[in-house]
Amino acid sequence: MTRNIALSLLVAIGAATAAPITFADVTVYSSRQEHLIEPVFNDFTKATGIKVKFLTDAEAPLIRRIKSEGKNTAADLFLTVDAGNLWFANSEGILDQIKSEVLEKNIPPHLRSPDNTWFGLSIRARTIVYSTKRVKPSDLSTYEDLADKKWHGRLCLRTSKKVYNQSLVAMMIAEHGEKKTESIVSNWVKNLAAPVFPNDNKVMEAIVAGTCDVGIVNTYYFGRLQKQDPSMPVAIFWPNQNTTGVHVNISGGGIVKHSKNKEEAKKLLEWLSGDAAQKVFADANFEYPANPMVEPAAEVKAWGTFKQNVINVNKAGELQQDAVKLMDRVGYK
Amino acid sequence: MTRTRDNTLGRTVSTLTLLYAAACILPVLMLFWSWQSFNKDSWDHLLTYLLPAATARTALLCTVVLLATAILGVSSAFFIGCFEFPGRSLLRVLLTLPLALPNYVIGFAVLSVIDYTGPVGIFDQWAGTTVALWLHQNNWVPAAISLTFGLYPYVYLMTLASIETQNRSPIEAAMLDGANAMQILRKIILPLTGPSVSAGLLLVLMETLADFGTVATFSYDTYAVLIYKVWYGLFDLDTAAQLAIGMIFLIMPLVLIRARWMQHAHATLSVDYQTFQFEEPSRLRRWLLCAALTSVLLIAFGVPIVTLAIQSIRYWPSLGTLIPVIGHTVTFAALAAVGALVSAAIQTFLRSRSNSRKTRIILLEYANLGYALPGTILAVGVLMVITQTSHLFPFLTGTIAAGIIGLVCRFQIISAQSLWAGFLRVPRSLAETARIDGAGPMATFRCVYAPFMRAHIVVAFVLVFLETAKEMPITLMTRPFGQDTLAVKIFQFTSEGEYGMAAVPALLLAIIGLLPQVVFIVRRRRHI
Repeated sequence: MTRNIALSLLVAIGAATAAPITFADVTVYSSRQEHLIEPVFNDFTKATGIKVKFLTDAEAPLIRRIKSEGKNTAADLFLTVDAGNLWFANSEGILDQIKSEVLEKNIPPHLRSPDNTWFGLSIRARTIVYSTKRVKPSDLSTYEDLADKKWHGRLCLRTSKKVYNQSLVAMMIAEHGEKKTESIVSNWVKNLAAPVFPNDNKVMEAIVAGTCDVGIVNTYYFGRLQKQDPSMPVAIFWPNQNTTGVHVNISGGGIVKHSKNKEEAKKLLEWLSGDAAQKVFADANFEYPANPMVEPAAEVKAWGTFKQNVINVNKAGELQQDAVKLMDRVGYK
Repeated sequence: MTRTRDNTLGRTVSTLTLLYAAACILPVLMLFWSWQSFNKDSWDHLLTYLLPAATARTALLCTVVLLATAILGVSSAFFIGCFEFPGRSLLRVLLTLPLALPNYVIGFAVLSVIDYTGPVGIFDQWAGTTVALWLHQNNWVPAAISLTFGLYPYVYLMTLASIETQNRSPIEAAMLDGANAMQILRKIILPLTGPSVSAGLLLVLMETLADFGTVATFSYDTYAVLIYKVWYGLFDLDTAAQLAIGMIFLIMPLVLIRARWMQHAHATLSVDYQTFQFEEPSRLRRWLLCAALTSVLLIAFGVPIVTLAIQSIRYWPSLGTLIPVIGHTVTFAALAAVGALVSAAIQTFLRSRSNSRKTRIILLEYANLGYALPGTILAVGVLMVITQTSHLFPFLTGTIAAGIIGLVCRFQIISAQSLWAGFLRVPRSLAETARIDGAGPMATFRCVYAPFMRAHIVVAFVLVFLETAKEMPITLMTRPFGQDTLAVKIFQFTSEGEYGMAAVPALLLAIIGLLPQVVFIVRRRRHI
């Protein structure tokens, strides 16, 4: 028994240390998860012959890892979700400026950093969902209106610890200033029908169960639930169409400052912004392509067109800390 | 002459102890660098709006989980250890099954049950009650339930080991005097098993403090959640590390008090290898005992497993892609378990040479503090160590080493406690006789210590193996390319809200966790 254990351990140690080290042409650190990025990387390798190796984790630890690895880092490209994280990566000095006509042509200015250190690759709209049984679309208008007393005991929200809500509130601060935003968010909290939820799915499930009538979610979560249950009595509403537009955020990426394969990394980023990749990248997760020339998936198109907020998403990063503190002050957990 | 040699030996052991403790706690010490900067804004905000409430919530959760795991763990160990009833020998092993499940998976299962769309929600709709809402509003309840089910096996295992090696004579004397089972439990067994129970409870406390996954499932904001929030939300890693150090300082006095108590308690420990048992209870009581313990098992282990099975049905075709991942999980866990075992062996040796040396004992206790830190924060310390020493050990960068160091730093307390308990079982007289007969240290170890400690060595290996296989944040942050483990897969799917897909690796993890326990059962059967 003991001998067997020792033997299998030896084999394990051998396997772990003797695994052949192969160098990929581009190495990506990504907080966009494997099943959403692998198909598009495979396509890239087929098209260009450049191999892609990747590693996934949450955003902050990845940024920390790149920073710790310094000049020795294996990372060439950093991919993440939410502009706040890209802004933070840039402010930590781990990203390099990219000069690329292709990227500047494909990605609209409000979806990339003002100094071209990162570019958005897909758009994620954070919008209002409502119960088709208990709410008429005409009752709804704006995010701000959800602070109205008529929604008392009818609103469900995800936790303020999720970056999507932090970005939404950051953008509201950019538009309205802190004082007005604080009053709006404070009234959201007063209108809550139930304690905050750990994710967007749970918000919609609570609407289905009748716990609340309206909520705020990213559209791709709605897409996934709708795919599982097409008769789900929940629908999307596009708010703020007569004012600033729907809050959009991005998933995107930038080239790591100490990358040793910057040309290949740039090629990958440019390729990701092009027609073929944009389709796969966005469709894999019911998101909208960042390149306006590319059409979204049929299911996504069916939700209708909307006017999006065109304030540069970089603002979400700049104001994220203010947003977090504001939400803490009003008791939005 | 002898005194000089003793002094030299003492100094050598002291130096070794200091070096060992320093090496173990290096990743934690690295976090002290964070005090180079001080963000007054973050601290003002924390103190005004977050810290007091988070501390109170943490205190409530720790108190409830400690009480509940103590009651559940001690009583089940008492029943298993002292009574004969149907299914006892099987339940004895099966009651440790929840150890195969990560706490966050149990949390996820509990959430599915109490959700507005789950069984509790459906009951609410049928009966017109609002139980689900109440449980979400009082989210410390489901959080405490999940952690209790995940952690009680530690208290159970340590108490049971202690009961099964208990001296029978005081219990028999009490019985002759007409004491009943309750009195014997309260007056004799509890005081004698105190050190073991406290070892289990210390693990429970540290794990509860460091937990993030389970409490986040219920949006219950503890001190550990605050650490993550400051880092991820306010982008302020320095303040997050400072908060983590604060947590270490909170737990230090408790570790000290327990160390002092243990020193006192060991002096009174006496060993007798015949298991004590009460007279056979009545037929009804025997079946009641069996039913009670089986239901604990069904709730703590059965409910999560069934929930996972239901969630994962549609996603089993993805199994093929997970096969290499299983290999990485087992390799990673086995290496960490061996590393922790080596560290624990050194610790046991140093401890055995430090009987009356308070400073050394304290140093050794502090060597284990890595367990009380949230994994990601500990991983930051490990990365700092690796970065700072990369010019000395360039071959370590980007390998599995960083992860193993972090995991050993975090989990060695478990193997150290198991080995020390085993060491205490070795009768001193035997070791002394061997030495007088001229046996060298290796021969003494092989012939005297190894036979007594074999079970404890296996338990130490298995427990760290299980913990490492389940561990998420350190593995995530330090793993080399292409070395994803099952826990990493669970993270990847749950972070995108794909719970059904995450259920497949979670079930696989549970199955891997069951294997060592099956070995235990088979071995036991063979012995019987």
